[in-house]
Amino acid sequence: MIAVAIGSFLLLLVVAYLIAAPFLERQGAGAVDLAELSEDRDRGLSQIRDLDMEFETGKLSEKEYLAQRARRLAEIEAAERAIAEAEAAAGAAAELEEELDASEDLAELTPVTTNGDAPAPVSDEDIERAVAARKRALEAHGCPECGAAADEDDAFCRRCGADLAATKHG
Amino acid sequence: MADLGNFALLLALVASGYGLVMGFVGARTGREDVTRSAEGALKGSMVALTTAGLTLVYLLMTKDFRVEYVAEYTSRSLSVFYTIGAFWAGQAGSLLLWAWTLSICTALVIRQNRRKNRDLMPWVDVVLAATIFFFTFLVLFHATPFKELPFTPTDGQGLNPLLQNYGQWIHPVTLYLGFVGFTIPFAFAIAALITGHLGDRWIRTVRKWTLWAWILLTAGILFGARWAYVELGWGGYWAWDPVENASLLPWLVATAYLHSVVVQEKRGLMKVWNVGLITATFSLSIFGTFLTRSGVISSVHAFAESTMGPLLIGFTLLSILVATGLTVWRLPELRSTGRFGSILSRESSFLLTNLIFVGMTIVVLWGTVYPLVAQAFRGIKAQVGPPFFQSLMVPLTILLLITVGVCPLLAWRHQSLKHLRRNFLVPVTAGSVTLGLLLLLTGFEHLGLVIVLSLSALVMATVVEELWRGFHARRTVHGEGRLRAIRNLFALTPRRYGGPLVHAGVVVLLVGIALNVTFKLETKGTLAIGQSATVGGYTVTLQSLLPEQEGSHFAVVGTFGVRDAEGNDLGTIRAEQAFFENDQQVTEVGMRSTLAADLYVVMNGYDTNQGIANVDMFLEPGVFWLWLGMAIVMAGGVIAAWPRRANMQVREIPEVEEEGADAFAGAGGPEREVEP
Repeated sequence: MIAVAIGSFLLLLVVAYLIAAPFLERQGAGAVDLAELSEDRDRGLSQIRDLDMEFETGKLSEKEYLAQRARRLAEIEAAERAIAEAEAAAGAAAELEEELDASEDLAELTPVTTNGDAPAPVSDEDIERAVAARKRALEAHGCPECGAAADEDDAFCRRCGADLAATKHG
Repeated sequence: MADLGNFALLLALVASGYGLVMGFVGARTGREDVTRSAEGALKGSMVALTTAGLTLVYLLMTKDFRVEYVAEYTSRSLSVFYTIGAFWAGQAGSLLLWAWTLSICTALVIRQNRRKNRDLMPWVDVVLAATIFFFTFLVLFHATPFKELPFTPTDGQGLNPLLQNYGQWIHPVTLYLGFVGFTIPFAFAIAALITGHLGDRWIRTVRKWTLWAWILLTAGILFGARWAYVELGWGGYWAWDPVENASLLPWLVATAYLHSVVVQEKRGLMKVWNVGLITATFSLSIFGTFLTRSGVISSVHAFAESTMGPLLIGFTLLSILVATGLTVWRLPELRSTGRFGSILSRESSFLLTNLIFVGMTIVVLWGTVYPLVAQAFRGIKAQVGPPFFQSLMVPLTILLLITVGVCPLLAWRHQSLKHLRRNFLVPVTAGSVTLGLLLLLTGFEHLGLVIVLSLSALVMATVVEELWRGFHARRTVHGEGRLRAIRNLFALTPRRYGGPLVHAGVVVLLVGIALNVTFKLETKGTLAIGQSATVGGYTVTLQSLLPEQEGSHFAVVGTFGVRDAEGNDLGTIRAEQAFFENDQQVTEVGMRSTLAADLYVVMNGYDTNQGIANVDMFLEPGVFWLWLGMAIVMAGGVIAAWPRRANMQVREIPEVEEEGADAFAGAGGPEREVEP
């Protein structure tokens, strides 16, 4: 009987905690979800593989194939760009936060709102600036063939597949 | 301990009720913390229902006969295996299992979408909370497994011996999981309708859920058929029984959905249709529960009548009404973003496939509910027998076979004559040659079978050609070795090549059924010891008739010697009449299986004093192929649905000079790695 009472009480506690926790915890600003972005990209890639197969086995006319493939590639590229930007922004945000932590006036900079909503740790301008810096960095290493953005250590262009390493060294 | 179970159920009810209300509030106000709290409540109801489920397992395992459910479905002598299987032997346990698995799926969905689909999730939470609330309510107030008796019986009544088959562990569980699984896509469809985010994001999100639910439902149905065949002793596997139909109905609509959803993904068509199909799948799952649980229809599945009929039918109607209302409201935004291609295009043939499936659904639905309708309007007890279903389902199945053969050969949008000729050459030749040969061999005697077999040859050729082309393309374009090409075909393009495998399985299965229907033989009679009877070339002799004690039960065992047409001794088979506790009597089928046919012997009655037995013998051709087809269908489904690591390589687009695959021969574009 006592076991049942204890068990019931524990169960009640767990459920109550699960319900209450979201109101208590600080929630991060609505960051762009990296997982979702990379899912977008991966899905694009798998669709391209399907498309390739469809065309190679004669299920798709050439015009249709090229058009659909270009569309998918554009989607992938958009996703990759968004990923790069989100990563850069997240990185910048983390750095800024560290700096702010170090400077010890975190409390002043990030006021807690009354309803318990999470405060934004960094201002939008900071993120914008970080994104812009990241963009410039990407464009600086752009593909010589098609001009698409590229990372410094990219071996091939993300859009046209040009051999970036070769152009750099050769 | 039963108190803990009851408390957990009550808590689950409160938590899901809270989830329902707060989910709604969160959705209306857009407050993320409220939505998260609703999701916390749903996780909480999962914890509570898990506690309730484990409590029932504990009560069963400890054989606590004070609990009515335990006393009703187990006994001291019942093995551990079937004692746990007794969980879902009765109504109360089945509904608890339903609510429990749904809450687990819900917690999984919440976890998967904790950072994405945040626009849809509040409404998804609402729908899932409502469904969990509804089923927990049913368990708590209409069929609780935790009710205690005023006294403690010395022993339980034991599990119905028909349920003492390994199928008890597969058939009910997979069916429930299938039914439950379709709640997830339904919830997302409703959320998409409400939020107006009607793109194909909700469809992609639930793709895997839908596939797995479909696989489990398929497994549930087929294992049910197999169970009926080996255990019930009537020589069949499908009887168009209302409860069988209840499981077939959502399967038919879900299969249609799996096809039409491809059209939406590829071409932006059939959006309303897809929402409708997923609603129908969910509603028919609940409706099936109504049919089987309300006692309105007589069936071999003798479930207890209960008071929950009106609630179940009410919930079914509510889900249909809500979905229909929302669809009508969103109609302007649900317009297709593309247009249908020519009649000879892939999308048109998908539409045709869909119409056939929907036609089948209507046939089965009408045949199943007609007795109810007749009772209500004309006051007569009408029965719709297998002939009704067969006369309509056979032609529809043949039509379906044609589309399965033709559809994968067509190109999207429109069809060039050159492609048409090239793609159709092999399958049509295979079909015609089979047709010609079979007509030469058998004449017009078994025309139905000949048609089915020829179409099957056509479909098989389509599948083989499809796989061969893919294989060939991987070999030439990607320069892969044979084994690697086969592996990559399924590993890199599982959606494209899992499907044909399922088609191949369906064909093998249908061939098995067609052979069985055409050549099935039955011999009935009374045999004295030493006497023989023949069925389909086999001579079966009753050799002995002896009582035996087998573990917990007593049985009368008839031993039958079997000889083939040439008189070769093929050994013996045993058919039994077994007696369990409480005078429950079960026939155990004696069987001798070969690739071509099963010899199936049932002993319906006996007299040990005189040494005579009443015997029913069947020759069951093609049954092996039915089960083989079932295995292939499962395998194809699992390949398409298996979680895989995303992306490895995407080939660079090669310069295309000529039309068609020939351009790729030797093109061998460079491959590149894409960092995940």
